[in-house]
Amino acid sequence: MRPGDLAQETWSALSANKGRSALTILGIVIGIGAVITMTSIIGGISNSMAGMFGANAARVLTINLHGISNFTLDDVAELAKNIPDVEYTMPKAQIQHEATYEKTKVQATIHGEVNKVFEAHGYKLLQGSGFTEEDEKRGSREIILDQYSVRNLFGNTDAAVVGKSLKIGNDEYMIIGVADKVNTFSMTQYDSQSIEGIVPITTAITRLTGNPNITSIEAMTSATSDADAVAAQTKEYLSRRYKLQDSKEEGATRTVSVESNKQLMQQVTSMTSSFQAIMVTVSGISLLVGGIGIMNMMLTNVTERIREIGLRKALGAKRFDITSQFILESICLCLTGGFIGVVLGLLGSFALCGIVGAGLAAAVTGSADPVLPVIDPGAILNAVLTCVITGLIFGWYPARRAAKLDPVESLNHQ
Amino acid sequence: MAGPKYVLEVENVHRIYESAAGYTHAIRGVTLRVPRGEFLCIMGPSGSGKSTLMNILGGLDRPTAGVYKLEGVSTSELDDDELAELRARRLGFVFQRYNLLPRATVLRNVMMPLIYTNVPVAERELRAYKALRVVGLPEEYYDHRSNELSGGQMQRVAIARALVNDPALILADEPTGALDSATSELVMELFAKLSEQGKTIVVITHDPDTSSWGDRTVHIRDGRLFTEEEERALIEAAMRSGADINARRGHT
Ligand SMILES: Nc1ncnc2c1ncn2[C@@H]1O[C@H](COP(=O)(O)OP(=O)(O)OP(=O)(O)O)[C@@H](O)[C@H]1O
Ligand SMILES: [Mg+2]
Repeated sequence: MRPGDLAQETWSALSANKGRSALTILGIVIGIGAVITMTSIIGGISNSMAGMFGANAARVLTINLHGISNFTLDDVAELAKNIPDVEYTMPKAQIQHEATYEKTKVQATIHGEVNKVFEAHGYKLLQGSGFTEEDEKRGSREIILDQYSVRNLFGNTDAAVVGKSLKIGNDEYMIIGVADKVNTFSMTQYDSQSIEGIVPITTAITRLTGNPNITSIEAMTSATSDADAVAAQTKEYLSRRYKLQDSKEEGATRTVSVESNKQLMQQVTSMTSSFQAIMVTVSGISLLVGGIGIMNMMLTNVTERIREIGLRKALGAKRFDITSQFILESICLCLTGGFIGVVLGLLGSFALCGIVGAGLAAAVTGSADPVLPVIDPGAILNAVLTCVITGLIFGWYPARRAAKLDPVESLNHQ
Repeated sequence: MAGPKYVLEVENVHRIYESAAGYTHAIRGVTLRVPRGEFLCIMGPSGSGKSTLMNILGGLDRPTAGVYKLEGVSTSELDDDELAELRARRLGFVFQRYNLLPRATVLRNVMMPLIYTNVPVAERELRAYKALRVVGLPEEYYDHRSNELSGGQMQRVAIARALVNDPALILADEPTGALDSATSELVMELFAKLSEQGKTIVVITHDPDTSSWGDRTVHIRDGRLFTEEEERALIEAAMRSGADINARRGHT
């Protein structure tokens, strides 16, 4: 039997039973639809999370020093020079301070940063500019706020604020830019009494903390290196250079921890993959139910078409011809269900994200950009393959039953 | 085509059915030879074993004992798929109840045997048209679904289907069983015409009018074959003794 003939026989058999076929594939449609919807949304959520941490998040090391009192910016610079796989370092300082604009008083979280932090964490400037290296060295009194801080101080996030001054402590700081965010997690969106901003690191330690000791540093590793390996290298270097103790040692006071964000990113991945595991289970169950439905229909088909099977055998159909005809029918049923499921699933994910995408984003990542579903070709391919396999498995038994029928008995079947 | 003189050779064939009710000895030592080109009728009352014999001749069933050779090949030595191949290439079946696929067109029904022998698509239609012209079905019906036809038309389509693979043997089990006498006449005329063209045909029937169309008739009773002379002698003997021949035939 030629493939073309097989396809034609399958088509005419299935189209003769449209209503029943449609009902039978409902289970498959729902199963595949649910999987595609959920994978698209979960893909969207993990995209949002990756967005929150920045595209380079996996490359960033977080270094925390404990019990050291004289680690300065020069030491930070030296660190970058000594570890070739560290592209640049980002010393950090953080201060809580009261800030006033005209009559409005708010609680300000001020981050002392280097300008590279925008690139490293993917903060986007919405107005104005970041500070220059010159500003960094000079310790200029300039600040970059996040968009919600602008809202909290000036009424709305779009207010033109570049050039305006803000009083922090005894100094006036000029707002030179507005970014979408200035910190990975920020409360300014929810707490209208707070603002958050970035000032040059030198400004922070000379004017706000008055303490040149740096205890928190981030390091950007080169794209080609393994962040974990560089973390170990950095820890080793710092421990040796500053005679630090192992944090596991009892009574250790001078210690350092170097964490790569790889682990953080892995947590995100493991969360999404446990979501995926749940989905696979749910879809597995629904495909099983759907598959049994298909098998049931195929068995009914075989029983109804016993005379036809007998006739085909009398006219020369071999066992393989009969088997492949019924298996192909079953696979086609499953595939049709799968295609409808994929289409409905994609539509469903866009619809769901349209309705709850913003809330989901706020809940999961604290970002205002709604979660957008991700169309994952791999998931679609998987769905299609699963349908083929389901059709094969659940079509097998009915098809074999048809192929084993005795031609004489089937021809005489009433 | 050359080949053995006899299209089919049946040597002391038995067929015993095994069922929950016990054993049924349906064919009891049948020997029969059909030379190429013969139009043979096998006649017998209900339950005499006609269909059983026909299934064996058609390679749908194998004898319990004895040898059945179709064109010199013993069917007992073939497996199911080889038998299927043999049916596809060398046999044409005509059934009492037509056995057409109702949802398929006349043309697709006629072409059906050809899909199992991988005949190229282009050639199939040519062959189907040729067969349909032989049975004389008007061309306007070729695109009709087969369930839109009359019984006589359906049987002609079925005969065209039996011809389409140019078989060595056409087997018909009660081909007129579902038709009125005028239509039956037309169908038998068609078989006679095919026979004139050199086809080997075996028609099974319980109707003497039908069997009169054949070159030769053999009688089957209780799973045994009798020639016309044997049958006549048997009937005369029965009449002399006053016995009821129908009782022996198992008629009800
Ligand atoms: N599958 C079977 N299992 C058991 N017994 C069977 C089977 N098929 C036929 N028989 C028996 O074999 C005998 C011959 O049956 P067969 O069908 O060959 O008769 P027939 O001559 O074709 O009759 P009819 O003219 O009614 O079609 C009958 O007694 C029947 O009951
Ligand atoms: Mg019969």
